[in-house]
Amino acid sequence: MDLFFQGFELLFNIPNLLYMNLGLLLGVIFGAIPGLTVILCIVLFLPFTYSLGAVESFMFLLGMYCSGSYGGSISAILIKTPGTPHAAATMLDGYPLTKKGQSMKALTVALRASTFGGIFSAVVLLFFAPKVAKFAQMMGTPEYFLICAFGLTIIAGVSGNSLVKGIIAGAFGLFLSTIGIDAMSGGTRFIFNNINLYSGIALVISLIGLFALSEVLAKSEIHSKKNRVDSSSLAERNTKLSKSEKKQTRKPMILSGIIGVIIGVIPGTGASMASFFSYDRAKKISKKPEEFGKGSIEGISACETANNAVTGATLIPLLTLGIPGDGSVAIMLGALMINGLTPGPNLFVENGPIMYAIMIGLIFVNIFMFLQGKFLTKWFARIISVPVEVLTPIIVMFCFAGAFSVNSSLFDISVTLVFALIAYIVSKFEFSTIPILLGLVLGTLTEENFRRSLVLSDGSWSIFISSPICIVFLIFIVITIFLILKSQIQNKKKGE
Amino acid sequence: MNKFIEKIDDFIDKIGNKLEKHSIKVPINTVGAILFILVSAILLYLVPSQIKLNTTSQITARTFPVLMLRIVLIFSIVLLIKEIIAIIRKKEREFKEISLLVEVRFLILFCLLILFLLMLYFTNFILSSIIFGVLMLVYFRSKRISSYIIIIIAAILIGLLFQKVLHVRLP
Repeated sequence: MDLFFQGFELLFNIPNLLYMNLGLLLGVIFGAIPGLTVILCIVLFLPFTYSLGAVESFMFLLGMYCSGSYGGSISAILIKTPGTPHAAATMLDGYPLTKKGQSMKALTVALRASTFGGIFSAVVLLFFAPKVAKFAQMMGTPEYFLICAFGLTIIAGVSGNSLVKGIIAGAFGLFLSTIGIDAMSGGTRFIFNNINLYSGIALVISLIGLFALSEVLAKSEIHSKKNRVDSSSLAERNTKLSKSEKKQTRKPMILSGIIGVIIGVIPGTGASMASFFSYDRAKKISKKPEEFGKGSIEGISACETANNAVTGATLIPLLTLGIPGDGSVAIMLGALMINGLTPGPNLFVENGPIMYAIMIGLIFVNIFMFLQGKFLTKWFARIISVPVEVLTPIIVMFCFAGAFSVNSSLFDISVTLVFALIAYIVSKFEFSTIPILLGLVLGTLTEENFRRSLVLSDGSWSIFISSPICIVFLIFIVITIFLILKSQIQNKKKGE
Repeated sequence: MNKFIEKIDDFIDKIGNKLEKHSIKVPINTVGAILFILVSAILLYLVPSQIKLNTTSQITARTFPVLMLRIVLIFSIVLLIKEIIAIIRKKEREFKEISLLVEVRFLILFCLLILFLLMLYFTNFILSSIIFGVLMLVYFRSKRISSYIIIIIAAILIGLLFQKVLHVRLP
């Protein structure tokens, strides 16, 4: 309980609340504009967190992560183009409501549901994360290596359409993380006599290249499309929901909150799966299933609750075991490491108050998201119309300034360009960049635990089957590979 | 002036239409596998020169990177073997159409990014950003004056934000 109050005290200061709200604002904007992603938003503003404390940084990034989910629903409802992939299900009922002239009502339902989902998952995080962390403290280096391998296997399997390609990308990312001075022996690795590579490749620099500049280069494949919002659709005055409408959305919201949390805890599943699954369940329990697809507020509530309920749940494996559930959370894992917080079992022991501040903060992130949404939705809706041609050079300027700010070196900008080129080439051949990212983020941790385990066992690999927890994680890895292969074979058969 | 711009537009459209007709179908898994086999083989070859050892211990600084490169190599070979089996059994393979127009656009964009980097060696961040931003708008064939004004203001604001607020000494 002491830690809870210490966390509360640590959270409540003006800079934390300010950064939280700034993050929320940026997250909605990036989520709402089709073509911009939440990952891009987090990567672009990650360099800003360098000068911030751990709680400030995390509030800033959590704001983006949570409100990005809500932001995606704005364009899905108004222009039938989901700003984020998981808002695709929201579009099914959101856009028909816009066509009926009730876009503001649809946005209000989405906001209420997003807030409920977010707070629900934050409360689950607050209660369950410390318990999982206690269990995690029983683990040693071999167990921890296997957890990293487990996380990488899941991400490798679900990030593309081929497990083999995912493993290649993940192992390549892990290799890249070894460039620079080896912390254990003091020797250098793959620096090619370049002094700038002595300290390795900073995570932010590789992220900017892999996820931000690569997005810019990907603009060569798409034609600029104008997104126009009909301003008359936002002039609707009565945005309040009636009592019966509120009652109607209660049941799907609770059900979807539970579904979102369960799916969110499983790494690699994601918000898209949660929102479509919840939509389907909500339709099955609804008294008016015929309205689904034609502008049902139950449908919008279900999707939006589920995709925001995922946000807190993904933090449970992240904060307790160091396993990121998706790309955005993997970047936040990087942010934790930048602040000197090594994710994993010891995080709660060594930095208990900070962890509680983050978990309590997530509840307030959602409350402020509701307030911003309530008063600024009309303004957010107009942002969708900003043309890509204007946004793209601005993104590049941020990327270059951000990459330079890490070490005040122009060499770092050239490294981001190399990473952008790598991302462009590998995605041409349909290799996902998410496993590369995870390999880069988890590289140091994985290698450290791997080598320490082997040193402890005099080079014997049997150490990785020496404890019951090791065996459990090995079984998890085997089951994961089996399930991924099974689903890929099924998908192939369906395709044929 | 407008006629001149229209003429340039027509000229670019003509080139675009010509390039659009040229495309090649690439077997993505075969090419991807060969690419990673080459990269991992070259890197494995470079290991002795790039990671020097001063210990006889079994677990060294080479252990982990070599293991990862071997994983990349082995799984790339697996991918290639799957492709070869598919060719022999005449099964369907994954192909991707690579359009010359898209690749030319990519090259222009990438050259613009390199130009931006090079400008930073000779001029300051704000000026380089303004030039780069204007060139990007030309690339997107933007004709709205407001877009150019927004880009110039954005370049100045981003420069000031990093220098004055975040205290980053930009070039």
